[in-house]
Amino acid sequence: MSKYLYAYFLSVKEALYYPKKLQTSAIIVPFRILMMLVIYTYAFHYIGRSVNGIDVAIAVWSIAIYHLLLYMQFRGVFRTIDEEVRKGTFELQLNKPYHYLAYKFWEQFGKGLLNFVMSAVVAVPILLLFTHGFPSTTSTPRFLYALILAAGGTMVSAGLYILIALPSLWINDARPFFWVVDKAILIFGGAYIPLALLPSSFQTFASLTPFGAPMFATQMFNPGFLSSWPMLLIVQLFWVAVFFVLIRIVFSKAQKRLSINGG
Amino acid sequence: MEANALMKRTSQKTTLQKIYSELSVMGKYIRINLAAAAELRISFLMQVGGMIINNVSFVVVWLLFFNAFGTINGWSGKEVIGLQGFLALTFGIAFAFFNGSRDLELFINNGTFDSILLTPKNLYLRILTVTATTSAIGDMIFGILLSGIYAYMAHLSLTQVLLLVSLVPPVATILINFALITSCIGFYMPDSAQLSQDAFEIIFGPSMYPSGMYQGIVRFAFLVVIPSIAVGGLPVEAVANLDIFKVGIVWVLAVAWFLIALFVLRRGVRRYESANLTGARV
Amino acid sequence: MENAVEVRHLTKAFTFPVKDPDKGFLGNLFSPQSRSITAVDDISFSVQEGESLAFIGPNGAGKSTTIKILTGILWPTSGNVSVLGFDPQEQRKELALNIGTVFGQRSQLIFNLPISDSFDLFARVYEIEKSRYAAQRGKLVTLFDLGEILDQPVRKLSLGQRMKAEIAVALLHEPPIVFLDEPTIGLDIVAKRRLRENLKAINKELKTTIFLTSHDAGDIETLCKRTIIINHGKMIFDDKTTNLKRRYLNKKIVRIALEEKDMLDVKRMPPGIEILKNKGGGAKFVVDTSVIPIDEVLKEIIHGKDIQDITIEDPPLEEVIGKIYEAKTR
Repeated sequence: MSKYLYAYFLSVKEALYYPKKLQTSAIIVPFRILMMLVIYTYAFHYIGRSVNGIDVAIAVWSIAIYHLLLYMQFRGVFRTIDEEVRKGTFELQLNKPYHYLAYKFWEQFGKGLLNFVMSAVVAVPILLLFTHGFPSTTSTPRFLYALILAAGGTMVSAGLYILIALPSLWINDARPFFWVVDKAILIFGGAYIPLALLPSSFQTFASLTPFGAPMFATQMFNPGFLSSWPMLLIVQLFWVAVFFVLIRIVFSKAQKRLSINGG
Repeated sequence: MEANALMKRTSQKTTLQKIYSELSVMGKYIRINLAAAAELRISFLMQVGGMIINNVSFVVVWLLFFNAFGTINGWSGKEVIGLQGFLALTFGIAFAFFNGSRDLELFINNGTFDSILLTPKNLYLRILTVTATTSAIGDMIFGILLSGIYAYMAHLSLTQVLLLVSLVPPVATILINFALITSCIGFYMPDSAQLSQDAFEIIFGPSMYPSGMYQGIVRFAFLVVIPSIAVGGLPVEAVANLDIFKVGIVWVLAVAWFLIALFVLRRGVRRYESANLTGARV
Repeated sequence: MENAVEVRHLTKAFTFPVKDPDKGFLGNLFSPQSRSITAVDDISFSVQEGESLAFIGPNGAGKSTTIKILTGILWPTSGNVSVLGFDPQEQRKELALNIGTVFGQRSQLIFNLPISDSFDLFARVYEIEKSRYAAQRGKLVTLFDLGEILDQPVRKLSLGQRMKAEIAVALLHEPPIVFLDEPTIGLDIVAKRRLRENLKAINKELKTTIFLTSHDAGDIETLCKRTIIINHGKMIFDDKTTNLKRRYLNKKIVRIALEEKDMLDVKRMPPGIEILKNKGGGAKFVVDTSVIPIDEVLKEIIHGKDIQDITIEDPPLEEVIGKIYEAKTR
């Protein structure tokens, strides 16, 4: 097994040593989803109609997918890199025979797996019960395309969070970048409002920028998804390519700066 | 002779003097905590700024919600601004000054609770003032600004503004005491920081949502069992309609949660003192 | 025998921005000033394969900077560096496969998992073949006495246990050279002694080159036959560790046990002697051997005395090193 895959495997194993953290994903995430269910059920019932083709089931499932997918994304890699730079363990890893960023990618990827599984195991049955099954637009192709977009979204998230972590090699505190990006994804990814319910200008912005791209899979139950998903995938691939190039440039500058001026 | 002289001094304090002494020490700890945080100026500003960004995003989210649904049960974007502003203000005041209520579990686990116990001051107040959160100052600033915007948008009268301000202490009291109760899990379970945080989120999360959506049994649960509505939607509704009954409910719940917190704390401390804790540092 | 490390005229300077208080914010923003600090100033040395070298100096002397350059983390401003024939700047990854590093204050073990998992991970990181890994792991577990704690999470280990594990993991891929930065920091006396014995064994049996920095004189005396002292970026000493005392301190500490109630006659003491203690039954004094040879001192003292016991010691190495640091600072 390659060193990077093994790092992934060990991260999963490490998560098992902290079962109390898994309880958060088993309690809090389903709780949040349940709260959204209460709110949207009341809201849709109050107005007595769907909005932009979205009903309560589609809205809540969309939000649920956001919160579940969050565990398979890379918010945590920012804190890891930021902390390692500040504590000095970043430079120690430069004399190891692996690529630092590739290693961090696989390490982070492993950290979210169990949380994802735990929260899905609890949240999905609750949702199925209260929304009387999957939304009416469900079909097998949608699941398949959503899976592809989920994978693409994970890669966009990795690129984005790694890129904004790298400034910590120049400045004392890169957290402002994190806050802005994180909240932008919260809004344009559909954490509490599905994208389809946003004004059209917001929807366009979300569909084209890297702030909506990590969470395109949340649109899987939307009426227009079957025709829009190829374009969404292209947007994701575009941003993955852009981040890949930018990260290479920035990281090599960062390494050079560290090597010349000690960070 | 010197010991006797000392004993004489403390026994001569009246109740009022004792209360004054407790409050003045409490004030001193708060000032020290904030001064220590402000020493690292850039970090201080970063945390304050970060919290403001965080809060703005939640306001944006709910404004977008009401943009999609229109007014629901008397709630619209304007009321959400009032809710978020009030919540940010009370949360900020509660934890900028009294963050010890959230950190109690940490003190128990890392052994610093012993030194807190040994302080010759009121234990409840001492726990509350051990730490301060810098980011909560960002909440406070944001809360003041947003509440001001709400007051302007809703054309609040002076009476309503004063009522809003008067509801800050009881709501902050509920937040502080609920945080303390969830932290007391640390007396019964080692390494329970995550559980305490999760338990606190269960009250605080729903308080940020427009309470007009909570009806029937759900409303009852989030008012009495978990006081989410009491800290968020209810005060805003009370001010908007000058509803004294709702104001009364908030104050009653504040007193109730204060007494519950004292009870739970006392039980927990007794357990700690009898060294029944597993995982305690000895 | 090829040299494990070759350093020729190595210099490392850092530049950093400084604010001019007379210029104001905009002035400093648009025409910033910078200052340069030379952390390592034209040093040259070689380390043979299998040698054990102490590379020491006061805080801020340039030790960590030098080690970082040797391991490829930092690039030199000028000069040539070669470690095991590799250029650390150009061939960092190749070099990384051949060196072991232990930084006493920063752990490379996985905190929440057992040591065995860190072993397995490093085996893959350093691309160790399975058969070699099994044999080497067994050897290191025995040598460092890790058998009973192999399945314990690192966070539950004592500092001594953790350091043993850190060093064992660094040696897993049988590196020809290992860099140790303060490996015994924070350890109790027993743990230090055991760790030093293990490192000596590795140096002796596996011929691993040891490059050590430490503030602990015991580490230096026990482990390293050769010492380089660096201060303010310059090398001020490069010789056998035993010569460190001989060259820099001309003092001997003498303890004498006499008959009960007997004391030294202070008036008869020749020059160059400083009495530290002179009570009935014994005395302790310091001899400046640059003023008077030790044998002459003893002849004077023994004369007419009934000596029960006599001990002649070198001053502690710490004192020697401290004096070197101070002398060069002045």
